[in-house]
Amino acid sequence: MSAWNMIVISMGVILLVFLCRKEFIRANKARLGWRMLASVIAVVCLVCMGLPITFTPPGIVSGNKAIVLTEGADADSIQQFNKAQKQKLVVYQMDDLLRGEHMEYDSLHVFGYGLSDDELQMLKGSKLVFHPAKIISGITTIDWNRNIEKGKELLLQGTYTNQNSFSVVLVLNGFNTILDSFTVLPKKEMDFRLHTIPKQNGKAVYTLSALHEKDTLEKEPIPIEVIAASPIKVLMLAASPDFENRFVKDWLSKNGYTVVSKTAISANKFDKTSLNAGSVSPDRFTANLLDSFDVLLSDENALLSLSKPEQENIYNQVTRKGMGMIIRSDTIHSSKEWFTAPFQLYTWQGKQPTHLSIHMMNDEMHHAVLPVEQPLFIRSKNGMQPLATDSAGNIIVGMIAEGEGKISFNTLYNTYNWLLAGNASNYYAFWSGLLQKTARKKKSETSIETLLSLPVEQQPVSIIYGTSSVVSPFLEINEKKIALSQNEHLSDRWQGTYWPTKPGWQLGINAHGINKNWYVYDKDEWKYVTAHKKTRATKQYAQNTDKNIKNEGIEGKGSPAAVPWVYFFLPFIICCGFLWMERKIF
Amino acid sequence: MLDSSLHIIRSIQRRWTLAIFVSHVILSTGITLLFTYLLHQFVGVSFWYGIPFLLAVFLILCYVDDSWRVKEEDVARFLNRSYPPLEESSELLLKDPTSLNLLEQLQVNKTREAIQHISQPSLFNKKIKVSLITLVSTVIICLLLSFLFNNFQRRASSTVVVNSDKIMTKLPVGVSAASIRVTPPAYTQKRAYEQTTFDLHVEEGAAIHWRVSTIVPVKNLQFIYNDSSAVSLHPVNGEHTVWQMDKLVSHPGFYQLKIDGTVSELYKIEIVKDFAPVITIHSPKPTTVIDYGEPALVNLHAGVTDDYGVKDVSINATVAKGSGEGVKFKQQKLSFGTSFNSQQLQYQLQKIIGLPALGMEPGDELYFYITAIDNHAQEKRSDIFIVSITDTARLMSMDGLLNGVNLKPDYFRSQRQIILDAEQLLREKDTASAENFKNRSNNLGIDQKLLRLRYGKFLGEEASSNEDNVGDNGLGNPADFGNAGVILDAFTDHHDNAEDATFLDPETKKQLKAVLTEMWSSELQLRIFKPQDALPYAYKALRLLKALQQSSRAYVAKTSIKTAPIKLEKRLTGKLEKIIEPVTRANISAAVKPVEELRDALRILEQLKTGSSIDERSIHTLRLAGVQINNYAVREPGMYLKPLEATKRILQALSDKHSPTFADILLSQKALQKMADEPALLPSKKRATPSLSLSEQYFRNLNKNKPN
Repeated sequence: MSAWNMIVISMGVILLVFLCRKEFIRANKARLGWRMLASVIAVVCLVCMGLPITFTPPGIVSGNKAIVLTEGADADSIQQFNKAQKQKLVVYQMDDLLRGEHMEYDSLHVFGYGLSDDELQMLKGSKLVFHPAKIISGITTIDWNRNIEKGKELLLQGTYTNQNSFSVVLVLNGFNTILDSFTVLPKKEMDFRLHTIPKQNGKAVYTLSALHEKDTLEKEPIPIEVIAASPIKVLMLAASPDFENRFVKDWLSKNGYTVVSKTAISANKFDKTSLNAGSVSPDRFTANLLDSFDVLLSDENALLSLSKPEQENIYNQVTRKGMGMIIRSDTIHSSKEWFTAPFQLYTWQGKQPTHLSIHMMNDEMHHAVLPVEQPLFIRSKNGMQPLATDSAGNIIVGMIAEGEGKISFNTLYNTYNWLLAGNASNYYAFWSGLLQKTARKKKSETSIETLLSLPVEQQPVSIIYGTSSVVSPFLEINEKKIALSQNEHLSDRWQGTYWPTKPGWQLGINAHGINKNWYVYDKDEWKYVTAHKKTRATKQYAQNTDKNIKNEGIEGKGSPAAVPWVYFFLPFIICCGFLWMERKIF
Repeated sequence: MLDSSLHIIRSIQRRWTLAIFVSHVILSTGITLLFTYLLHQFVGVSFWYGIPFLLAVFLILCYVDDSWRVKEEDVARFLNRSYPPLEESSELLLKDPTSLNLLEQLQVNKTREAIQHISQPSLFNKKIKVSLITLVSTVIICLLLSFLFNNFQRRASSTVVVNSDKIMTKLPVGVSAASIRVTPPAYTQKRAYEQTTFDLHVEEGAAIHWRVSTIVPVKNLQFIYNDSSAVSLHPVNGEHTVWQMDKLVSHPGFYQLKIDGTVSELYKIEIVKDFAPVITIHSPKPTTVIDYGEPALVNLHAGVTDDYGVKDVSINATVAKGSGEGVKFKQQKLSFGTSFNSQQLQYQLQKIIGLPALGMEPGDELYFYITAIDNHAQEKRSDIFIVSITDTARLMSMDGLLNGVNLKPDYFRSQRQIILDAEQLLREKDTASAENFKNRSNNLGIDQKLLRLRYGKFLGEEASSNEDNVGDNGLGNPADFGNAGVILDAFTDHHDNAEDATFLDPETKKQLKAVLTEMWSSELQLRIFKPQDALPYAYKALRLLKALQQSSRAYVAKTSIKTAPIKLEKRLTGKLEKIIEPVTRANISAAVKPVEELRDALRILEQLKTGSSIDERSIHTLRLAGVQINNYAVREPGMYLKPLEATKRILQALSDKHSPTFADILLSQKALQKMADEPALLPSKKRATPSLSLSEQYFRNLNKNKPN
């Protein structure tokens, strides 16, 4: 009890004694009882106004529980729970809960798959006990590459929970054809991986089905889009003609890529080739010429024989403008030059293998064997990314970042053997990977992302729009304009929300001339993935709130609130008024 | 009292009647079951007809057997018969009591007493039992019959399925009947057969005779092959309603019937190709070496199968004589000695080829393969098999020894000498005495053993055996008294002496061990006085030694010519002013591959699936893809004919401004997915995330301070 309280109460007592005595000794003894009562009430109210009187809000009673049903709730488990509690608890549906009816209860027992993040936020910290429903059989997590460059693999990865006593076969189906399958053993939760190379151009919806004999347990859409490759412009420089360059040149030019090459054939004599390049001629490596190429393929010797200004131009192009450089190792390896310095070479000690097993570090791991003698390896160092290694992890092709650009160093000189031996896919994988990783990146002014991986109809989707332009952004979805708000920390990020109305491929997101296709799922699709996500979120929430409440140490009780002084002031005025009026009227 | 006895009689009457009815119902059920089952099985009548049938049978039974009309008198009679205590007086109970005389009344009283004590008659159940047995037996009969029929049907269905196409056919519009007579080519040994469906699945080279009857007379009837060439049928009758045509079919594809401009659906022509015979040779092995002493025979065992019949199988044998540049070849054709007239599908053939009969001598080699011809004159050859006879004379030659041999002592003469001596011994066998022969054979055995021990030394084996000089081991020397080393030396073997283990490589050691094994066997035969049997082992040992000698021959590589050294200062100093630099300029536009049309068509069909409309260009792409499906259908009608039809329907629907059916799209997509190959990987420029002005600035500033 604080000093203030003491003072107020003792003052009140003194006042009360004084007033009572005054009333008692008054001559007119009429209505003495009433007057005494009014005095007492007035003093008590006065004291109460001075004291910080608090109360625990009514309604929150410790031990008051309710049941909340969410999707997947099972009547049996609720009954069992009721039996264990020895009372029948009030049952709420999800919607009632979100309307705010949970406020009266101090703990909510949630049955079923649980609530989504948005819904949990609306509970505002109420205590929640989660009784998760088990997913008996279904795909619980899934992801795949939605936008696939032509020739690349569609890779589906996910988890399947199979609590059945039989095994389930997952089948990837596209265009009425089975493309890949995976068997999930009974009573197991297994990670699966399905892949195929899509054959169509553009959009298509594949399906992923879970089958048991002839029954389809689950069938989900896999929308994908195959995008045409955006060509890379290649400039080649060689100190002598050889097969390696020739095969690369032929392969790229046949596919419509721009290839310009300059090969030394004698002293100051060059073989100049411009394929699909218009009137470009590689006489001198000017800044203008280099601007129009994405990657320079060269050997060390040829680079060294260039004039100083040309070398300077290349250096500037790589470091300032992001051009890529692929350098082939040479017999005359010098580690002095800026483009070779980071790459220290060594040879194999002991007996030379006749074949080299090569692991390419592309998006998909690719293994291939190349007949090669006396291979050179690159010593690994900080900041170097290996693009190809042998089976022991020795680096065959390495890449480093130099300013804005990348420099790759390649020690192989006979990859065309793959083409000759009919292993074209190895050759394509190797060179595609190498060129793609090294080449100048396509500058894009804008980017569009949807925040949800599986947007569902009738549910909001957040769209993040990134733009480097300062013009006020404009975004259209399904030919409807979307209002955007700027991110408070990143000035070039804008966010908007859209409610898709019907499932399937949407007309697209349009922004300043770029168009992004996206797919919206039906409410019933990917049921278990959402259920799994909800279960996880709810579990997390239940754990967090539990922790919070324990920290505060007021388990199951609401916070106390001050009683408004008005409640005491009114009776005080009335009592005082009565005492005053009594003398006047009677 | 009277009432109760009457009541008993009436209740018995009721039960009697009921029992008869029940038995009738059971019996009629049985009869109905049997009849309806038979009718259902043979005529296909529904089981529901059993209900009226049951009623009818029941009524007939009731009419014929009217024993259900049981009267009280009948009951009384029955009681009299069954229950002696009633004293044949139960009828009295039925009579009006007032009309009874005294005696009767007395009897009635007595009977009344007795009737109270009668037990329930069990006689009625007998009829029910009989009916039940009838019902059960009919059920069993029906079950047995159905089991038999099912079995029969299953057996019949396997044959029926094949014919089902022939029976169930969808004739094109305007055609009333069609009969197609397929005459398979002679090699198949199949009979001609008829079918009424237009889809053909025939052997290569089959002759087809079409006979098509139309409902109304038509002016022109044509077959359109593969959507390109048209062939007219010939009218048979004057009204132009029956048409016919003959054609030999040797290529797959499809065709349509065109009746006065109306085109039917597509019919496939699938061709069953004749496969070449398959030859499997069980023995001998691909290469066989016949050593000295082994019978010069080859046991050839082969199996030949073909899908329509094997016409002939023969062996082509080539004997190679001589060596070096003097090799001569002699070809011979051998037969299996089996008749192939019956042209069976499978033959198991066996032949023992005597090599001397082919004129083969030691050192010669026989190459042979088997040729099989089927009745379609398709020939198939087996792999080539090699049989060689070892040349003992060659082994005796000293040629190899004259050349440089490294690390091998000259031990070969000894093995050769043993063989020569053994052969000499065999020649003198008849003239020499038995004692002498055995002695010499044993001596040869000792020689062989010594030789073996000598080789064993190279492998580090025991160097000598003490068995031959036990008597003279120098143990009697008094100076050695108490010297344990001498005794040990005399009575033990010296194993694994490190000094003896020579520096031979493991491969040579392995070969040497094989030699030793042969020598062991040779020695054994010589010691038991069988030089004849020892010879094969001796020869083999010699052959292996020779191989060892050959393998260790040293070769010196050829030396190359010497070139004058390059003067480096003069390199690349030639005058090149007049040399023009080659400049190549070309624009190779990536040609639109046909497969791209398929890929685009897949996308367009996917678009159609969602119900959205497509533009003219897309329809054109679909049309181009349709042409490709057509080409595939010509080659594989079984696989691509249905998708082709589906694609045509889709195009038709699009031109009629309908939306095509989902099933058609799926069919077409499936074919396109099968036809298109996986696109090859091409490098593609990566997209950078939109550059943040802030991060760009940071990077620039970072670079500013970097020394160039």
